[in-house]
Amino acid sequence: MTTAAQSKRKYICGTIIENLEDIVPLSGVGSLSGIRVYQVGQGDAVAVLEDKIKPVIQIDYGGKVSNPFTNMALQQDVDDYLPVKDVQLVMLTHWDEDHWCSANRADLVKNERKWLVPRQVTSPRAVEFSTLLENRISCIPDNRSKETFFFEAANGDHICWEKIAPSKLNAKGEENCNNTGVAFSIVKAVEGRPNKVILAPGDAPFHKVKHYRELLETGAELVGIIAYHHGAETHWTKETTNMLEDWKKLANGDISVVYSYGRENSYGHPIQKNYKAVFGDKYNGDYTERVRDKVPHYIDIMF
Amino acid sequence: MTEQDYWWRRSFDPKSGSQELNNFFHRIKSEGYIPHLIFIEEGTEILDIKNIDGPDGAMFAKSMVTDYYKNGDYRFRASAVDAQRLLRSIKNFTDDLSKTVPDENQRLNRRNQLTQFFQGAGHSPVIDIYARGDEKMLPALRFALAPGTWHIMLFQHWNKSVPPIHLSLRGETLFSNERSDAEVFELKGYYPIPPWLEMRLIDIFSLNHVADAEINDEGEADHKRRGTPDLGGSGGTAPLQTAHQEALELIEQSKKELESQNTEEERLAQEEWKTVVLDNKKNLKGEAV
Repeated sequence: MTTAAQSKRKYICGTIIENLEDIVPLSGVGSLSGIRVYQVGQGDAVAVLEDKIKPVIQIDYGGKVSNPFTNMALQQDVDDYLPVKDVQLVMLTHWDEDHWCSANRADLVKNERKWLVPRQVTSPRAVEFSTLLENRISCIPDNRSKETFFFEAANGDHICWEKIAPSKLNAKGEENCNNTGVAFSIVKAVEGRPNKVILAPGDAPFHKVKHYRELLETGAELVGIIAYHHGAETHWTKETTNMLEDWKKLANGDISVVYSYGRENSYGHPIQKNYKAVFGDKYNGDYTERVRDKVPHYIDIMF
Repeated sequence: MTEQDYWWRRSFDPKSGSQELNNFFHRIKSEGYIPHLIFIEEGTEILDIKNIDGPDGAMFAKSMVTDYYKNGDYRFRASAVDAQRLLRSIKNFTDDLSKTVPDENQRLNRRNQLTQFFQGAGHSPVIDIYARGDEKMLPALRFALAPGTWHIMLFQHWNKSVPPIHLSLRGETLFSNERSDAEVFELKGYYPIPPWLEMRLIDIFSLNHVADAEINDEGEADHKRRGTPDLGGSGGTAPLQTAHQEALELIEQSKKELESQNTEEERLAQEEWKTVVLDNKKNLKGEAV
C-alpha cells in the first residue's frame, strides 16, 4: 500500500551534467532499465543499461583473480566480452587494480573511450595505464567531493554519482582509496510514487555515501545492490546495518544482492550472512560465479 | 651476507642525495642484489592459500607459494620501479607538480616524461612479497609496509636449496594476453626511503598529469535539485535544512493518515511506515544544521 506520505517526494541536491568535455552523457537515451554486473572473476565491471537493454555507461573494467580473460587470445575477445561500443563514458569507482586492469587487455575501451576517474594516490602501474589513455582521461575535481552529480535520461531517470571524500593521506602516508572513490546509484523516476533505486558503491560501505542517505530520506524504493567490496565483511558496521534495514522497510518486493567476486580468491569473499540477516525474507542473492562460462556471462538487476 | 646484515640496517644516511644513493645501489648490485623502489598496493592476510593468484592475476597450480605458505600468512602486493633507472631519469621530471596547479603544458610534459620512462623501462612489474604469519618481523613489516607507501627493497634470485625467509614473485601486469612466468626472488633487505626521494616519487607516480574534468555548473539550469519544485533556495548547497522541514511535514501528514484509517492491514503498513519516518526524523535531527 502506498500512503500519501510515501508518495510525497523529497529531493536530493546536486548538479545535472549536461556536457562533460564534449560528451553529452545519456544523450539519446529515453530511459534507464537497470544495471549489468559482468562475471570478471575477482573485481568489478558494471554497465548501466538503457531501455533497450544496451550498455550506455561503463563503471569499472576490472577482473583479477580467476578472470575469464587469461585464455582470451585477442583484444577483440575482451571487447566483445565487456562491450563499450555504445558507451560514451567509462568511470572508475577507485584505482584498485581489480577495478581497471582488464582494460589493459582490451582495445576500444583503452584506445577510444573517454574516462572519468577519481583523483587518488595510485600505483606506478596504474599511472602507467593512465598515460595510455592520453588525453581521454580526466579527474573528478577533488574539491567537488561529497557533491552529487546526475546524468539524466530523457524521461528523468538518472545516474547519481558522488566522489565520497577528498583524496587524503593519513599520518602514515596511506590512503584508503575505497572511501575516497566514487559511488553510484541508478534511479528510476516513477511519477507520483517513490523512485526506485539500484546501488553500485564499488568497494565503499553503503553508509559512507552521502547521497545514499539522502536517497533513503526521499523514500526511494531499493530494488537491488551490488554488495560492496565483492561481499567483504570489512568495514561493515552498525551504521551499515541500520541503513540497509531502513531501505528494507521501504521495499515492496525482493531486494537483489549481487556479489561480484572470483571463485578462487584468498580474501574470503563473499560473506553473505550480513545481507541475509538484514534483508531477511526480502533477500534475493545472486553471484557472478553462477554465470561463469555461461551465456549470458552477466547478471542484470532490472527495475 | 646474513639476514641481519640487511634487514633494518641503514647503510646510507637518510639525507643521502642522488649521488650517494646511486653509489649505494651500484655497490649493492655488484654484490648480486637487485634494488627496487617499491610502492605497496595492498597487504592482506591469506585466508585461502589454495586460491592464491600470481602477479598477473592468474591462478597458481601447485607452486612454491603453496608449498611454503599457509592460511594466516601474509602477502604484500606492490608495484616496482627500477631504482637505478629512476635515479638516472629523475632529472627529466623537471617540474614538481605537487606544489602547484599544473597548466596544460606542464601536464602534457609530465605525461610525455612518464611515457618515455615507462617505454624505456618496460611495464611496471608487480612484486608479491610473502611473509609467514608467525614470524617476529611481521608486525613491524605490516606497520612499515602500509598501502600507498614507498620503500627501497633489495631482492636476490632465489637459491632453491634454502627455503626463503620472504619469498617474492615478480611478474608482469596485464598488458598483454600472454601469461609470463613469474620470476622468484627472495626479499633480502628493506630500507626507509629518503624523504626527498619519497616526495619526488609521490609527485611523479601520480595523476598530476591528468587534468580535472570541466564540469559545467554555471547557471541554474545545471545546478538544481533533482526534479524539485521551486522552494525558493538557490539549490545545491543546503539540502539538509529543507529536507528536515520536509521530513517534519511528512511526519505530521503520516500521523493524520494513521488516525484516519483503521483496517488492520492498513494499520500494520502504516506502523511500518511510521517507523521509517521516525527513523528519518532521528537521523535528520542528528544531521540537520
